[in-house]
Amino acid sequence: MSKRNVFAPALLAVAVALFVVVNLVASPVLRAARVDLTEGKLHTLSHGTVNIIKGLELPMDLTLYWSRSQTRDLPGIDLFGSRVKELLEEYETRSKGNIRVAVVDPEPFSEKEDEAVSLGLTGAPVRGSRATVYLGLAGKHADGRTMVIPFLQPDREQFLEYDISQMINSLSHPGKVGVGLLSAFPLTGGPSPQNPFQSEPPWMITDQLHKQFDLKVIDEGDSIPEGIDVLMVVRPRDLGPEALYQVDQYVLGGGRALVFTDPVSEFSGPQGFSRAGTGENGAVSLLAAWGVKMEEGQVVGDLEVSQRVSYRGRSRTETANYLPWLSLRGDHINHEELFASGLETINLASAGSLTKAEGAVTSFVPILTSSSRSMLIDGQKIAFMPDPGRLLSEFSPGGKSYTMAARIIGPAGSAFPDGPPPSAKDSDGEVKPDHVHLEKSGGDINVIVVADTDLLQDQFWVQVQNFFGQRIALPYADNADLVMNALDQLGGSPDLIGLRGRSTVVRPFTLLDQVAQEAELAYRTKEKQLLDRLDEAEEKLNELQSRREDPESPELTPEQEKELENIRQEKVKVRKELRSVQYELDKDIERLEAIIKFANIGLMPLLVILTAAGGTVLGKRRRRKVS
Amino acid sequence: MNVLPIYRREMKSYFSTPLAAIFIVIFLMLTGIFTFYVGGFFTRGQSDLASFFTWHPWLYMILAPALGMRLWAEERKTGTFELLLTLPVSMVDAVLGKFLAAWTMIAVSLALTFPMWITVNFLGDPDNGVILAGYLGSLLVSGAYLAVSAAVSATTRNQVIAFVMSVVLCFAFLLLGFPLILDLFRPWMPEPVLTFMASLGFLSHFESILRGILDLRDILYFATFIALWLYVGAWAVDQHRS
Repeated sequence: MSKRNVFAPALLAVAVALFVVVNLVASPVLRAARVDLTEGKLHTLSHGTVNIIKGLELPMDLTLYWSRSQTRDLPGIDLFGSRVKELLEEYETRSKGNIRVAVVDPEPFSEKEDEAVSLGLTGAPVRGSRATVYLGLAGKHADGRTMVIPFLQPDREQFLEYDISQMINSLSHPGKVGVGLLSAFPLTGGPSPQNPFQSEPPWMITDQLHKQFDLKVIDEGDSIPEGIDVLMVVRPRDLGPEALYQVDQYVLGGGRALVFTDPVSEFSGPQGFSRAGTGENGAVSLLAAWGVKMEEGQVVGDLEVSQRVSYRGRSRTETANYLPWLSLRGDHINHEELFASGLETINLASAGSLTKAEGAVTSFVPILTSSSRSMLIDGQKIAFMPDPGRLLSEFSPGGKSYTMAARIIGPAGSAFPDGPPPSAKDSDGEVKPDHVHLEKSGGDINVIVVADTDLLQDQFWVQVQNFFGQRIALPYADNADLVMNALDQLGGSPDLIGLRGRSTVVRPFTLLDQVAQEAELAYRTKEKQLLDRLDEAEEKLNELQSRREDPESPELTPEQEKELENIRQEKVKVRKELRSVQYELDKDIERLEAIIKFANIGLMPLLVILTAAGGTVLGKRRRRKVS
Repeated sequence: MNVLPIYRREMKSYFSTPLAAIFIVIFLMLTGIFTFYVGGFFTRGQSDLASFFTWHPWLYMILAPALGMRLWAEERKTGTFELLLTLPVSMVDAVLGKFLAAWTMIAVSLALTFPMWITVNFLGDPDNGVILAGYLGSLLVSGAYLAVSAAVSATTRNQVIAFVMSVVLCFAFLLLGFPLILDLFRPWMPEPVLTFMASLGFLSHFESILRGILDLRDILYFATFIALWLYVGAWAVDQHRS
């Protein structure tokens, strides 16, 4: 071939064709050839999923209904659609034929659309068009059972693998873990405290529990039903002695339990803040029997992991770190415990401190811990109209870290050493005949205790969106995962555990947060002093003025006049100082931001210019020397 | 293969003039300004480089043609074009050498943004794997733009025309896959062709790499794209040879 021929016009067309063919062919062939560079291997099927896929005994069909012809003009959804498709294909590849994936485009007014609707998929309308967009998944097991994800939300992309794997797992393992829920709070909804004729929706956490578990709600007074693998108890201090006795006996009999207790609850339900119940002592002795002690009436305040809140301050809306509201991450979650291993963020509100009781023989494994810059705050201070600024000004960390959730394993005795409480006995005072009172556990008890109930409330972990009549959960913390992982682990089906918690990939500027906290603490203390001075001055002023109103001395003496003027001066001065304190609050951060901006925008160009100029000068000198 | 002499000659021409310094300074300042002021680096509050990389395809749209426009147009204008062709180097060497030298310039500029990487590691705990992928993706996109610009430069002796044409072409490839472009073809193109066209856009490939996945398909796309446009460039040079 001569040199000219390489550039013949026909060959240009061949080159273009080659490019097209290579890329067309590459798409299906090279599907699995990729390197996942992300830290948590975010885009690779996790071990949990692989285990689930390997454990499949019968085949299943997964059909993705994706209105491709409609989403093409919506790049966001279109990209997400192909991500779903690729992920499903990854499942198919790994399943060795047990998962068959099909993709269907339910075009408007077609039979396929009818099919999608009859399966229970939800369509979303497209703006400016009459068409509906579908992006849902239908699963059909070989034995005929079906399951549907009505609409795959692009917002939930991080949970995509979990959602799909959960569906596959539920299809292949129809038997769910049985969870008994014994709660003093209306987790499953109920009449509204404001208006008894209206009902409140169930807490989002119960929605999640229903999806995954065979949830049985136990009313106080009922006995714990058979077929329950794990018991979830919420706020035992509001439960009566009979209910607590049941929990006690259930746990001693080898039953596993997840218990949420609380020194102060921020839930204002029908019972109000705290019902002074007979259960209060009962709950304490129940925990004591397990070898756990909770500081009563004291909540953990932690500057390092506290959340920022807006509140009505003295004169305007202010933002500050609210010490009792914690957002735990990283080292504050015990990632060595299997069920907590994947959790990234847990939000707590006015949580209590748990310690191992003196002389306890059970092992006490901390799960959630505060930083060392924390202290215990009197619950009274936050029960009504808490003032975040004041809490900060009174903050004095003790250098000790507190435990807010722990796993308890080991032999334990009964919290009812004298036998069942009177009401659990028959009218004759005899124990009900079908029950044998257990004084201690046969083997090890297995309990997880969390010293907070607020983490279950929607407002602390999830945003609920109404999507065409469906409530869609958009979690921003892993609170639900904590509950479900714990129940899963206690209930004994660890398949899905590795999957959860790869959820929220939040990587905040920790350094800036720290600087903000330092600044805040320093200035809040100063602010408190100034405000006290202001109060003092105002008091003096009032006092003087009230004296003036006294009919016997209508006029002020010159001394009083002078004092009045002094106080006025003082007030102006304090106000001014206060303003500058407010101003200083953001200054450290602004300074740091300015330095960073300069380092990234100006510094390197400056160095390049200097280097170039230096090079030119040197070059000229050398040339001059040579000549 | 005898790429090195051409490569050296090109690199010398960058660094013996203020061209290299000016290009690097402008690149660094623009990326910095876009990251902090347009990308909202601090408002996002996330220790990643998303607000940094997002703007790269748009910056390269201007900067790569600025480098590429002179590759051949200048040679033809100053009359060194014929001289170059009489040298004992093959067409492939000449095309490749020029392209690689220009690409090195961008790579150097990109490497000098390392303070950004230090910044996010200083401020928080970023996923450095994703950042590495971002740099690779950015480099690949710049190479693709550069190959287009080099080819366009070979068709004209006027650098301004080369620049404007390159920017328009780069813009088109950037937008491929967006309705704006696809709608132009929809009435008279079959659906599979449109789907394929959409997959030819830079953005979808770049974004997939930005998420932290090095997919062989994305890399193959950029590699074949660069190869194709280098060939087109060589072809255009060859047309003017006679």
